[in-house]
Parts: sequence; C-alpha cells; structure tokens
Amino acid sequence: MASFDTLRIRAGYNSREHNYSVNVPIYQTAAFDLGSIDRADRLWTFEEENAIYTRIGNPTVTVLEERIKALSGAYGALALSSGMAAISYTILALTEYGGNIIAPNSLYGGTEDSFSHFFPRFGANIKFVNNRFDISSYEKEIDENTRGIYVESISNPNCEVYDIQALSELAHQYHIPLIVDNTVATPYLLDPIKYGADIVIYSATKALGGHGNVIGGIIVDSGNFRYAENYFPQFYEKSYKLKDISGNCRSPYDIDQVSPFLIHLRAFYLEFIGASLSPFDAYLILQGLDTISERVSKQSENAAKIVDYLKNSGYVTWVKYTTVGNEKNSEQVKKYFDKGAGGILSFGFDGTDEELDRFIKQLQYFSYHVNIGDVRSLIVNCAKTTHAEMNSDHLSRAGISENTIRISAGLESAEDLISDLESAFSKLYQLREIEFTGADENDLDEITELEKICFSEDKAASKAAFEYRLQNFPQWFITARYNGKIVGFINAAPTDKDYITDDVYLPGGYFKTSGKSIFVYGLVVHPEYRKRGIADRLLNEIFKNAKSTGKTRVVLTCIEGLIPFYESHGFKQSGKSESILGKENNYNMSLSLL
Amino acid sequence: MSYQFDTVKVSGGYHSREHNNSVGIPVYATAAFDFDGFDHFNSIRAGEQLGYLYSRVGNPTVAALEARVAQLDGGTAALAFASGMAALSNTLLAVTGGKGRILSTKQIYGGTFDLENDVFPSIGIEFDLVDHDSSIEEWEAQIKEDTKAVFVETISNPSARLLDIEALADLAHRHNIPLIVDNTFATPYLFRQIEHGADIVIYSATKALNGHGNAIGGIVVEGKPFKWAEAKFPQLYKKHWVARDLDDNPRSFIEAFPQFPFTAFLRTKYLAYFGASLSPYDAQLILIGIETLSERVSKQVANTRKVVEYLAGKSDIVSWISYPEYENSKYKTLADQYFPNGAGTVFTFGFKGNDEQVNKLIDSIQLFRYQANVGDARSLLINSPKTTHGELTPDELTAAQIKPETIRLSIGLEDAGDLIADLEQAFAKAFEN
Repeated sequence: MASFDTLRIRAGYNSREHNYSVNVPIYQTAAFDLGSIDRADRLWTFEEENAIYTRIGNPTVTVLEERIKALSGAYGALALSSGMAAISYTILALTEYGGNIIAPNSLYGGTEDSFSHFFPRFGANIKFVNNRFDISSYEKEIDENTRGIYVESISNPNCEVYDIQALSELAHQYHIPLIVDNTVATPYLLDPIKYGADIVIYSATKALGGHGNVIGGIIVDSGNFRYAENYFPQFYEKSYKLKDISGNCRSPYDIDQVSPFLIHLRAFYLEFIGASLSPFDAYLILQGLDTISERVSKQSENAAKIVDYLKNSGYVTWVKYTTVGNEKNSEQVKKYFDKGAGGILSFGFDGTDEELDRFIKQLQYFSYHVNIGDVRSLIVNCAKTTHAEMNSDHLSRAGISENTIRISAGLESAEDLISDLESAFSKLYQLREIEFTGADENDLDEITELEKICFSEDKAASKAAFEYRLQNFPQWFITARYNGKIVGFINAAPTDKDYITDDVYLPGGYFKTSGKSIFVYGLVVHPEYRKRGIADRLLNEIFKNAKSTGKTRVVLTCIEGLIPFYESHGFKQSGKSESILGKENNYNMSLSLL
Repeated sequence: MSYQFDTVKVSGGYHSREHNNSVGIPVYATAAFDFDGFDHFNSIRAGEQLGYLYSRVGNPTVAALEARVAQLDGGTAALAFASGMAALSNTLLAVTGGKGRILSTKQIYGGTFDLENDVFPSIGIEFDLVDHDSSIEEWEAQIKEDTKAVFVETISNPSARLLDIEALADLAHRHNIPLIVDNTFATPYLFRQIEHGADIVIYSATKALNGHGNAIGGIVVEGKPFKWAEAKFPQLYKKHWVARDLDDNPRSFIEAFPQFPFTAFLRTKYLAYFGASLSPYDAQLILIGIETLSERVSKQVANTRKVVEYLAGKSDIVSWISYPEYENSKYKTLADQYFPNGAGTVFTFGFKGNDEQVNKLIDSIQLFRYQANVGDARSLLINSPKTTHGELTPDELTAAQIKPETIRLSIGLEDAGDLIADLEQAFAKAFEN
C-alpha cells in the first residue's frame, strides 16, 4: 500500500483511460454521450459507473474524489462546490427525519451561525457543548434523537484540539457517527478515520487546495459506520428514482450497504440542490494536492516560529496555537499531531480599533482577507469578520476574545514574516509613547530644523514665520514628542477666508481669531517616524480643538500626491490653488466640521 | 458522409467516444502524455498511430480545433499556433526554407508589414511588394527566380480591399509557387479560398473565427495537395532524422506525410523549435466560438451594411468610405464574385476632423470600444494610422494608401440602431466647441 506522499500525486487517476494525458484533463462539459439506450439504462441504475451529467458526476471531479478517498484511507468521497455545501449536506442528510447534532460551541463562524439559526429551520437542531474538553458533557447531551457528534479537528480560530478517539468511542456507543471537519489540519497532519471518525469534511478551499484560488468542499465516508435503519430511515427508503434495471424501487442502502450516506447525497442532494464542483476547480485542487505535504509542513513550521516570536515579544496579551495557550490540548496534540501543529494561530493585544486598523495596514507580507491555508500569509480580526455572526455572548462562551487576531501562516520566509510583525508592533507601541502637546519659543529652533528636513528651501517656513505664529495663535500649534524630541508638528491659524494666498504663509500673514475657519499651514513628521499614525493624530488634535471652539471648517492646500491622504480624513478638493509655493501645483482642500 | 458548413462548425473534428463520452471537448491541460512502452512512443512519432507526444507539438484539444478548421476550409490538415503572427511568420519561414523571396502587396496589416520590412530581411527573407490594385502583368513582373510564394490578405486590413484570388492563384501556379492567403477578416464562412485556388490559408483565430475577443491564437490550413517542386522547395525533400520511419530510415516530409507535407514540416521543424504552441484552454475557447461562426458573421455583415449606409449620408463628417459593397467602391465586382455573403465586417472611413477632434471622437464613443482587435462580438473603433498600423512611417502609410484621416470600424453584434446612435452622438461631441 503506497504511502501518503505517493498517493497525493498518483492516486485515483490512470492516464490510459484519458488518452494518455499525464495531467488530469479538464472535462469542461455539461453532458456525456450515452451511447445507446442499454447503456443509458445501466448508467441510470448504477450498473455502470460513468458520467452522465456534470452536476452529479464528472471525470475530473471523480479523480479528485478518488484521490482524497485514497489519502484518507476511506470508502468513498464526494466533492462539492464549497466547504459549507459539504457541511450543510452532511448535517441535513443525517437529520432528515428530525434530530439533533452535538457540537462544541467554538467553531468557525459560518458553521456556528448555520448551526444556531439556519439548520434548525430544516429540522436539524444543534446542541452546543460549553465544556468542550469534557467528554461527559457531550454524553449528557445525547438523547434518542441525536444523529451525530460534530467537531473541528483543529478549531478555528482558537486551535483547540479535542480527544477524537474518545469522542468516536462515545458516539459509537450510542450508534451515531462522529463527524470531523479536518479543514485546518488536512489529511497530511491528521487522519481522523484512524482515530474513529466516520465522516470527514473539508473545505478544499483552504490548505487542501492550498493556493487560495478555488472554492470547494469534500465529504469523506470511512465506510466503517453502520447507519441503523431506525436512526436513518431515509437511507432505507425505497424510491422509484433509485430503481434497478428491472424497474424495482430501491433505497440508497439497497445500492450500497457500506455507504448509503454517499449514495443518498449524490442522488438527492447533489441532484436536487446541486452544489456541484466545477471540473476546472477540481483540476486546481488536484494541482494543489501535489504539494500538500511540503506546503502544510512548511506552514506549520512558520506558524510555530511566529508563535514563539509573539510569546516572547511582550507585545501581545495572549497567544493561542495547538501547542500554546491551550493547556487542555497538550495530551491530544501529542497524540494526534506528530507531523506539525497546523498553520493557524491567534493572538490578542490591548489596543484601540484604530491601532488595530493601522497595525494591519502596515503589514507588507500578511494579506488582510478571509481565508486560511493559502500560500500567502493572512491576517484577520475574527470577531468582526470570520466570526461576525456571533454576538458577544456567543463569542465569550466559545472562548473567542473580541480582540482575536488570527494569522494563517503562508510559505513566505519566516524571518520576513516576523520582521514584518515586529516593525508593525514597534511602530504601534512607539506611537503610544508619543506625547501630543503644544509649543513655545524654546522649541523654535527645533521646529525650524524639522521643517527644513521635510520641505525644500522654497517651501519651508522660516523661523520668523513660526515665531509669528506662536506669538499670535499658539493654541493652534501642536507638537508630537518622543522622549522629549519633537518628531512632528502641525500648525494652523484661524481665518475668515475661503481660500489661502501665498502671503498668509509669511510672518505677519493674515489671520482672524474670530474667523470660523481654521487654515492648516503645514503638517510635518520626521522621516524616521512616519507610518506610525502621527500625522493622523496631529490632524485629529486640530479637529478636536476646532470643534470645541466652534469652528466650522478646516482648509489647507496640498500637492497632488497628498490629496488621497487628506480625502481619507474627509477633506474635499475644491480646485487648483493660486499658491505657487514650491513651484508645483497645489490644490485647495476643505473639510466641513458641521 | 460529408456535412455542410454549419454542421461541421458544431461537430467537426471531434468524437466524444474518444474522450470518455464528454460532449464538450475536454481541456487537456497537460504538458505530456504517457506511453505504454517505447513502441507506442515510436509509432506515434512515426505517424503510424494516432497519439500525442508533448503538448508543444500536439494536444488533443488543439487537434480538435485543427481538424475542425481544416474541414471548414476544405483543407487536408491544419496546425494551430499561439497567435496569428506566429502562424504567419512560421509559415513564411517554412515556405522559404529560411532564404528566398515572397511577393506581396503594400496594403497589409501593420504588424505583417513591419515583419516584412525589418525582421525577415535580417534573416534572409526578402519581400517584393506591389500595389494592391496592380494588374496581373505587374504582379508577374515581380516574380523572381527565388520567389517562393505569393502572399495576400483576402480582405485587406484596414481598408477592406479585395483582389482577384483566382487570377493570383493561377499566376502563382504558373510559376510553381503556392498562393498563401490570410483569410482572417473573411473567415471560412464568407470565403472558401481553397476552392478558389489558394494553397495555404492563415488565420488569426483571435479575430472573427473565435469571435469573442477572449483568446489569442493562429491557424494554418493546408489546402489540396500542392505540387511542391523539389528544386524550389528542397526542405520538403530533404531526408530528416526526425521524420524517420519505424525502422529508423530517415524520410522527407513528402515521403512521410504525402497528404499534408507542409503542415507536418511546419509542426515538426517550426512549431517544435520556435515553440509558439497554442494553449489547450485557448483552443477550447476558440472551438466554442466557432460553433456560432455563421450566425455571428452573418449578423455582423447585416450590421455593417447598415452602418455603412448611415455613414454614406454623413458627407459633412465622412470624406470617404472604403468597403467593397459600397457603391463607389472599385472592388464591387470582386465583392459580387467572391463574397456573395458579404465582404466582411471591417472597413474604414475618412474622418473630416483634426487630431483634437479625433481624440474627442474616441473619448465620446460609448458603445464602440477603442481597442486594437477586430471580429469581436463588440463593435470596435480605432485610428489605424496611429495604432494598428502605427509601425508604418508617414511615407510608408502613403505607399500603403492609408490616409491619415482613416478610422477603422469592426462591427459587432450589438443592435445596429444603437451603434448608429452612438456614432451620431460621438460625431456631434467631436465637433462641438
């Protein structure tokens, strides 16, 4: 029996059956020629297993199913258009005649939400277990209507690991299947069937496909579970649709005694609810599978290195990974995850929403989007995104902090990833140490120097100009200081004019204390202190002062390159300025405070 | 059983039973193919057995496209390339064997023109160019000892000029050289040039053949067996090791592939080594496009006629129209003779505006798209002298008779009334102050 690394490349495909094409052809077709009435009869009655129509079966998709089946040591597999299709089909098919499924309350947001609010509409009730690591808590929930226990092998986003073997033993004691969502681990890190899982589900979108370029789902049936008739009468229901070649009605069980579940799914769910996987997408997932071992092991390595870094950085208040921050995991992780502990981790730090936003924006090697298991490293704030369906109550019972940031480690160099995080963190923390205060004549030299560093000679304001401004309207001069040194400042003047002319910049320039507008002369941040949000803060200080003194407008002029920055603060462009400072085009920008 | 054009366009060249009964042609997205053993490999290589060695030189999806186009054109075989220019340049290189002359016209697609003027001479292939409207005697006068082919566009780019294909075919055959035609604008639907004597046909499949502007590709079709004289085309008689038989005897392409020696030679020696192979995915797109070739092109011809009629009434804006069916056209007779279903869907007109007004016209069109393509489902407008024929210097443009005020239109499948209204409003905006 070939081992994992060989199977992921070769299982399920014989090129001789496909015009010797080395790579699996993409059967980009809706239908298949039937050949003859006889053959059609055989196809319709499962006597012959060949494709009829891509919604219910396609050669490219079949190769994918066969390969996953081989990798899982399973009896059969079914590919679908998404992971959620795989989950919903499984839950709904098992509970068709009513019933409940037991699950821990810390799951992927979409799963949790559909379990709580959506599936119940179809008669599938979910009983959530709060004491997730305690097997007896699951047992307490089992009643004569329970039709399965459902867990994530590595939970999303907290990386909790439960005792799958114990859970499967419990489930089998009560004649119900154990369903494991093995998305985060993939077959490479964990074979749930080995530990007793009966049904395994994947979002192939994630690390299974691995390139973030396709949405897909897979359901795997181990073939070990006996679906008893009293619990799953739907698998024993005879229908004309499933008739044999002589026209006798049959049930899914009649067709396949080992997995009536998969027959039922293909014949009714895939057939009538139609979440079929595109052959092109199946091809992409097969491509991704070719490198699953290398990808997932590298991702686990990277995740572990990031976890180490975060733990020792002092920047975060908590870190969760399969091997860290989940003491209850340790037994299970040792037992189940000897090849690596997965590519996702989460952490939290005490910060404002603004800080979090800036932190994420500054990262160069982490993409901000919702996915996991891509070759690219990803970062996301779960509470507002991937687990947004959960309210605060839910989140807290699930042990998911509101400040959870989840990272999915990609294949970039760990050094680059860590230095990227370090740079973003250090800037964030540094900004906290920046003091925002005023200025006086003792600061004049420092201010003038900083202005010269940031502006060319013909644009820089003179010491005399600053002196004039500090004398006449010091309340509009705000500095940012780091360890006492001025690293940025903003200065403005009250005015009653709509737009600014160049003479205003000079010492003695026009201002009007009672004016309703504030004109910003300049906003300056030392080059070594940029991208920390200092400019944002300085501007906000001006806004704060302006609002509290009843001003109605803030105006300024800027070069074309800075228009987006000011627009992000709510300024609107109002045409080219007459100012010729710096001999480039300047634009009038205006913000209404009303 | 032989089928009519419309049937062939839908099912020619493909048998689903050879592809696991898949109704739609599978995309064989593979670089390579397995072999049962060396014998299996060798017999495919020697042409004894149908099969594939490596997608650069042959692929099932691409083969289906090649077979379909060959059947549509009434040719014996076809070969697909990554682009029309690849098809053209490889063909001219193969027919000259790397040295020789090609006789062609001055009024041709800009890219071809530059290839002829600059790139090919640097590798030993010279062009003799005559004016498009030259008499047969004038053409004949330019045929030299080492002229290897006559090459023309059946409907020229950009101004849709025509020539007497049969007369040119006769001329070429009198001198034992093939007539090579670029049938891109017409497509096999409007013109079956092999029936009129053309020996090799080239397509930019990118254009109306595929018709959706979503794939770049080229195709070469070999017509009825041409009598390749050994003295003129020694490359086809030279014994090549790569064309050896099962017993390792080197063969010439004439010996090995008597039905289609030219495309076999092109595939094994040019496609193989210059490597401009067509992606199977793009081949599938083109196949799908071909399924509606007749319907698309006939509707586009109907639209073209309406747009031409509209422009004919705008003498304040339009100084001239170059379209063979237009009553003033000197190609009307040829159009009636060779293009009964329409003389194409691309034509030019002279715009009575200055550069600034041309810019405004282009800025103002809303339905017509400003892009460099033709034969798309979408209608397109472009200022050829600056773009598609931008490689030509002002002098060359004059020699090619492409006037500076030329605007080229490629008419798509939109509603003709909408197209005319778009031109109307754009003209108005171009001339407003």
